[in-house]
Amino acid sequence: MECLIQTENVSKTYNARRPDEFRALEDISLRIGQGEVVVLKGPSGSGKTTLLSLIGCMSRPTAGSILVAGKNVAKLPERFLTRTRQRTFGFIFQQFNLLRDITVMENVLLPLYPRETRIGEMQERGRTLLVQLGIESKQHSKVYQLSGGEQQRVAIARALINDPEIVIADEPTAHLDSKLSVDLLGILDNINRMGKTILIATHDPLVYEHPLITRTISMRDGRIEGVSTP
Amino acid sequence: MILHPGILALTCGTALVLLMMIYASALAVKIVLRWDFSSSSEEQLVLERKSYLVSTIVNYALGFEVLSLFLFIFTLDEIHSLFVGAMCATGSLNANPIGWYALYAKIVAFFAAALWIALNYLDGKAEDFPLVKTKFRWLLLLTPLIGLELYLQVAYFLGLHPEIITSCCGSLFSSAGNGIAAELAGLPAKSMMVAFYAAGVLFLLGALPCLRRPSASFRYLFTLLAALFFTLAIAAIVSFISLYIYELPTHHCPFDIFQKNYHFIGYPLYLCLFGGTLFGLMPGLFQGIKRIPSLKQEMERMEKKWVLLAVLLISSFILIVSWPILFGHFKLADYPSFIF
Amino acid sequence: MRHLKILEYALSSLWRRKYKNMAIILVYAFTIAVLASILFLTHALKTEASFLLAEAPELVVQRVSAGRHELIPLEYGDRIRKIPGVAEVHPRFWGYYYDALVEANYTLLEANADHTPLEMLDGHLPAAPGECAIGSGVAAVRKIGPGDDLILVDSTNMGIVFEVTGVFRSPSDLLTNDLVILDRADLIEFFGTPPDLATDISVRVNNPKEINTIAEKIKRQMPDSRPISRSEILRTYAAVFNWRSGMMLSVFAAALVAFCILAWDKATGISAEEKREIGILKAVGWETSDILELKFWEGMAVSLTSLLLGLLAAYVHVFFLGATVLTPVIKGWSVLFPTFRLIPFIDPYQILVIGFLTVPPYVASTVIPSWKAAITDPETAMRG
Ligand SMILES: Nc1ncnc2c1ncn2[C@@H]1O[C@H](COP(=O)(O)OP(=O)(O)O)[C@@H](O)[C@H]1O
Ligand SMILES: [Mg+2]
Repeated sequence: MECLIQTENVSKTYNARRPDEFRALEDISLRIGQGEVVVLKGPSGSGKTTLLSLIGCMSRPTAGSILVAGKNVAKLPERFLTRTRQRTFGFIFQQFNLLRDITVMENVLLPLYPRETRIGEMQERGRTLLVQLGIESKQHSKVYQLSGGEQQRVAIARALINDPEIVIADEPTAHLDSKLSVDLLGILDNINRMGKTILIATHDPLVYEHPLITRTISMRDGRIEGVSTP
Repeated sequence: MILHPGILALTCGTALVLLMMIYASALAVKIVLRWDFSSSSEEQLVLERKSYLVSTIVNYALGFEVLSLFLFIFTLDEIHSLFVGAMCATGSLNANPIGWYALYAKIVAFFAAALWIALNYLDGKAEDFPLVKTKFRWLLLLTPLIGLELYLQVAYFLGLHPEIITSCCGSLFSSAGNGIAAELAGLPAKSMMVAFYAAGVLFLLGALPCLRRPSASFRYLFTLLAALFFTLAIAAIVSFISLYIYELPTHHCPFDIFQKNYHFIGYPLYLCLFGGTLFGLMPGLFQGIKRIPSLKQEMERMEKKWVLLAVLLISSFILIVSWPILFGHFKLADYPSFIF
Repeated sequence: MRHLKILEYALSSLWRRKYKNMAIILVYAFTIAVLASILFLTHALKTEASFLLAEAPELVVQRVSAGRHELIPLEYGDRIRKIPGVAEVHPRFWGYYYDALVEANYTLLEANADHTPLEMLDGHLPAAPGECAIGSGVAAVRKIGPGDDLILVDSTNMGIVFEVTGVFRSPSDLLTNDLVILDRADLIEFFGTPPDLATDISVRVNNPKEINTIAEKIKRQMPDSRPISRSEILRTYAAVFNWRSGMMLSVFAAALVAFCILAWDKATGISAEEKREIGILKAVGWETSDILELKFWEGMAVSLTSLLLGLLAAYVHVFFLGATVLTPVIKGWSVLFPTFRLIPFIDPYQILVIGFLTVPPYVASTVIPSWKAAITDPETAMRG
């Protein structure tokens, strides 16, 4: 299996050399292969989101190296981090992070605005995704008119619009009831089948006990506690 | 001092730009002193983000410089009626010769700001910020230049008095006058024409080895030729190109060509000249950057583009100015006394 | 392509927050309208003045006594005619008349003076004693037309009746609004001008370059004369106008500073909603420079909209409403000029100047706040 993400002794300290210094991550080393579905599990505050943001090129580690598709992103200027993020990752956030007063379609297309894609092609791609997710009838609705489940689907469509290799989902079921959570796992399964690697942070048993998961990494206080493969 | 809205706009605008540039320079000093790319500290991140602010400010400053060059010339044109004997912008400049220096300072500031932005652009192409210290040191030179520009501009406007009797292109822009402008107009048209076209051809030929061979000396030569051509082109505009455009044997004004009577030909003309010169200057001036490993490839790619752009713009310039000479009704030869 | 899409996003984002942006646009447009009114008015007055002077003689010789303008002996004209380089000499007769009935000032002028070509609206110029032609302004305030009588009270307090034979107009209202044209003999009699004196003398010279030399000669030969050249008047006018508008511009500067503070405040205090939006944009792949570009387009859109609105408002204010709001500030001019309608104009240079005086301060006061917004950490989007 090809290694897509590799972290080596990564640590992250917030507010270094200040009274409120906080070591959120310490010595994290892990490898994630192409096509895996990996769950980060752990109590609130254990550093799951921090690790996802480091891997997802949202921020830089205090120490250690992070290889994404063979490229070290630990020391990149923000501009290049953004570029890597644009091309490699799709994000599903805990609190959907949709813009409420623009339409579904516009939300889905947000990641493509700063790229060179033509508008026609953008819309074509957006429509295909919305059809796949079964919400194409809502494409002209404003986000605030949608139900929670529909909003989640819009967020997923947005995560896939740039055709990322890796999809990162942070507590994707936190705002969903159990039926919608099951639906979501179905969608993630489909995404995985399309060949995408998936990285999920969660403390919801419904997720980490799902058969789709290839590996579970348990975290506590910024460290890896254990790794289990079902 | 004449309280004219245009003068006020120029002075206040330049002062504002200077203030912003001083602020940007203060940031630059801080960045140069504390920069440590190997550190993963949050301070380093803050510095990286501050460098965005600096380049944004310089971008706006460049925009201002370009527009203010136009405003400066249009304002000179507006106020010429205040001076006895002035018939166009040249007359206003002659009313207080510091004006010429203010104009030169503006042109130099334009090139400096544009080159800085190019440097900044190159820096953004590499993943290890190779030019941070260099570019912020150069910024510390750009700011005094804007200060000088403001000073000269204010000195010029303060020294203008409506009763001044001045000379204009027609009568005193001729060989009898003094000052650089007068000397330019006094240059013999025929030898000037030969020099101008020779420099143009030389410059365009100089591009060939730059596109084929990697040697640095060809780039330096190209840049030198660009500078030479720019100087000669300005001289040529005053000396004979203007005559063909205005179809008058005595009208040497390099500014009137912006006007509607001459189909706004001045805009494309100067755009090509200034743009072409800028791109012509870059290969030589930025030659040292090729030594930086992370930029070598990018530089080689960009350099080709610059040379091609320079060639394109300068040839368009030569075409624009040759058009009236070749196809216009006006023939300088009809006025033998003006040729030599 | 990318830039166009970011522009599109900027416009739609402005539109979404239209009420918040409306406030800033209105204040911005108001500031611009103040400035533009000042500049339009000054420029229009300058144009009027140059119309006034374009047809004026190259050189006018007055006589000054005890520092005041006096009637000039006709014999001076003969002496001027003998100066080499002088082409023509004409004594001129004119004066002011206060009409107590309508509380207006008229300018009374002889019929054969070399004045601006007048566009007759109706009738003809006076051809015989007892006739007169009037400017459209006079016709309007006195509510008279051709065939009616105009009664003026002369120096001996006698009411004199003139028959109106024509009403005229010229490109500039300023020139003719208050003009009444009489036959020369009538005029001399009306003002009681002694027979060997004229109001002033107009001089034409052969070579315009010699005006100053000739003026000097006149002054030397007749020390109590005051030769005034046309260009001198033009320059004085221009200087006065520039000075006045400079004064008013400082008033405008205060308004501008106030506006900048507002703009800064608005830009700094971006709402939590907007902050969240920028965080999301950055998280989904927008770069700091993309957000800066977004802010640049937003600023441009706001500036251009305000500029357009402000210019429009100023145009209406100055040219259709007669600059009513500004007149108290520029009392100085209302003494110089009677009421009149300005000729509307659109001058790209004026617009450029207005843009230069208003856009850079706005840009400068929003650049730091927009940068602050642009560097929002994308990680914030992950934590909510
Ligand atoms: N910007 C920050 N400054 C200081 N501490 C932070 C910051 N961001 C997160 N933390 C701390 O880091 C720890 C890990 O947070 P997080 O990665 O969000 O945990 P999880 O996602 O597992 O709940 C928490 O205790 C949090 O308070
Ligand atoms: Mg979390």
